[in-house]
Amino acid sequence: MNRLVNAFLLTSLIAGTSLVIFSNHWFPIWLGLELSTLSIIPLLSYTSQSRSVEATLKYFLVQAFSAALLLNGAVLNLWISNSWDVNSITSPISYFIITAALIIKLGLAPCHFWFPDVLSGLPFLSTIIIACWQKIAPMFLLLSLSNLVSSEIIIVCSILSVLVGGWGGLNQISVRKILAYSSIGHLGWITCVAFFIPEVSYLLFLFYILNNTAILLICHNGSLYYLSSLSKSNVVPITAILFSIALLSLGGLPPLGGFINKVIPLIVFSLNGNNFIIPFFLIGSLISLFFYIRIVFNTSLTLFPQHSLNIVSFRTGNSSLSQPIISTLIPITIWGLLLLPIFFLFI
Amino acid sequence: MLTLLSVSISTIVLINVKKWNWNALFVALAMMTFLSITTVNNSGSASWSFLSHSLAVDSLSAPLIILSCWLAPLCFLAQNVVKGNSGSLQNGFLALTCSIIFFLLLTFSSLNILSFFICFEATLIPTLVLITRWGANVERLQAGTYFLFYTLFGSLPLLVSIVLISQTTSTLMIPISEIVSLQGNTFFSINIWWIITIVAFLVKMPIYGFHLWLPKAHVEAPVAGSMILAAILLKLGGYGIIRMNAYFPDVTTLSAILTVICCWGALITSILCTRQTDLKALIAYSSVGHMSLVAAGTIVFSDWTISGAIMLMIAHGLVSSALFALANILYERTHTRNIFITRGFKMITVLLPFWWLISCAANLGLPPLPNLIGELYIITGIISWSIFLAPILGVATVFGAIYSLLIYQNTNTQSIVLSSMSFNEISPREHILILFHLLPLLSIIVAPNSCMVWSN
Repeated sequence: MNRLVNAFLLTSLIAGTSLVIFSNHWFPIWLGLELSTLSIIPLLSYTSQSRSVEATLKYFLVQAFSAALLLNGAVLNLWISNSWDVNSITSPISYFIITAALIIKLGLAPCHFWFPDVLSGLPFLSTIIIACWQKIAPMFLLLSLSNLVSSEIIIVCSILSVLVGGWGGLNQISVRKILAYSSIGHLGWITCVAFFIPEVSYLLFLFYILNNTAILLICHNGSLYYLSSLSKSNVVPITAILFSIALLSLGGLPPLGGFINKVIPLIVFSLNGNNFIIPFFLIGSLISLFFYIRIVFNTSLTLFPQHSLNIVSFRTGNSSLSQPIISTLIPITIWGLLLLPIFFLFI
Repeated sequence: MLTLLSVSISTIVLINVKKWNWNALFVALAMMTFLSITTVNNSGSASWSFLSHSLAVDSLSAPLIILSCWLAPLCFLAQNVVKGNSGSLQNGFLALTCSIIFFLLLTFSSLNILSFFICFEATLIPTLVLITRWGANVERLQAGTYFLFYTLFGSLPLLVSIVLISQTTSTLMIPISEIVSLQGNTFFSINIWWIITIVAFLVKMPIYGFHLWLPKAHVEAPVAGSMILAAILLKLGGYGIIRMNAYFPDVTTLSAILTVICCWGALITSILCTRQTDLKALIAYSSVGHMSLVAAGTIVFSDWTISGAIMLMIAHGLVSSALFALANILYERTHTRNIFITRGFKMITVLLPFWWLISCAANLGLPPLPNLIGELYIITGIISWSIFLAPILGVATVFGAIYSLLIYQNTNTQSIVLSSMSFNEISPREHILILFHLLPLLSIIVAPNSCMVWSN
């Protein structure tokens, strides 16, 4: 696409998300959400493959519907509490409508059905925008709202998300769908903490975004669209190892950084005496670890008979723009366990 | 302690040495072993030495630290086939083994239960990579999956239990665990709490019900992986149970049930060993039997059984690792582990049947080798706890003798299969390998106090 158009669309995307994060009035929040949705539609559907256009259309429909629902909830709140202020949500009905809209936007279960479908139609760079950047705005809203009204719908949706993320990803062969279900599962862990201590969710969400971006960038570099292409990939050999480390970190294995995504929610749940929900999260994380292990096995732990041209082409991955970004993000996933003491500032 | 850890980190630098990386690493790890022997103290009680902010050594961790440092150079001595790989794969192998040793040192010396858990889990990833990447058969993927998921199925509840302990007792320090022990909870909750704590270690040890991962992992792993797995990673379970039992002084019903399960497991596994066809699977099942006995000893938690458990852990680590190395010596030459084919080697190997004899004799519990001391202490302690377990443990010991002698007789004194008559000589490297497995056994006979002291 024309560079100027690209820059314009990305700028308006960033502007839309910033508008959501920094405003106190419901109308700019709705405006920002719609702006971010509208600005990436040309970015996603530019390739004019029918699969991308279909994914873009589904994405637009879901996001527009949920943004309209959000505006509806905000207007209802205006009618009940006589204020456009974000901090004025007191009645349960308006809170429920707004939270439902945010759950649809985020892709938490039981409103997750659009997410793997959309992700599997888009190339990997667009996947990064949908799976990582577009979650920032609704997540910020959700976290600031749970500061005001704590409702158990978040816990129910997050438990469902973790279980759906685990079982949904088991039968997939498309890497994008696997990462979509892993995304659903991780957002389940993150939003359940939001019920108790929303500030901690920011830390977990940030770590998850960095980890996911690193993995998606490596997949983009090596064009790893399906499980069958994992063993034939022509990534730089060290990238295969780092890819496996990043995936195991996403799975939550100590001593990698993703472990904080498991241990901090467990500490938060038991701090509040809510030990009953813990087994669901453990089951979900164990099941989702299985498909991470499947990807790791296919990538670096098995050597299929390789055509010699594949082995030679490892130099081509070095010159892309995403290589320094990958090299910056992967150490964060390795050393992320050192972020654990930050959590103790919040309790 | 910090010297030890810094030497183990410096091995990462030595991996990149051009031509002599294996030998340089061997020397560095041997130096580490000499450093680690200083951790043993003969003061006769469970006192903490080498204290720092978060690392310390007491009479339970010292022999295990020495064992892990001792086995590290022996693993490198055993693994000869990897030298055919390319340079970067060799370096990867060395890096993985060194990282396992490093995390093991941290596990055994950590004073914080959460750091113990993190390092306990951290040994999983390198072992998984060793099994699946350097294993030889197609079943290694399933073996790796079983290994990872059995262990994680146990250790995620352990994480929950650690978090709950930190909430209830507001501390995670091991030395004061007896003072802040969890009393006064309801009958139901303390038993559930104990179970979710112990399951991780029971799976790791493993005891009979949770043992399915071990034969698979051992059969598919390369010899260095098998040695480390058998020698040390199983002992993490025993170490964990002994540490965590201090928090639960009054679980009586469930610990009774679990002790009986462990004793029956030892019996059943010993009987199963007589019908195995794969040599490595046989040694793996014998590991399960011995460690079930250790588990029973640690759950009963009296002075004698804990001392016996520590002694049996050290002795079993050395002997089991020696048996795996011996099996691999034969496997490298005949490329089969089938016991109907690998037999009769007394005819064509010179000193090897002697090593087989010592190892199998140690495995069955021949006096004065320390396996007997450990088994005797544990059996005595368990019988004094309940007389009805005496026939079970007796028959388990008898079957242990049966299959150990079966291993020796089958591999050495049966009539040889004609196709294995072309046989490379046993190199001095392999002789030294087995010798250094069995020499510490003799030294432990002379000084049993180094591996046995544990009194609360």
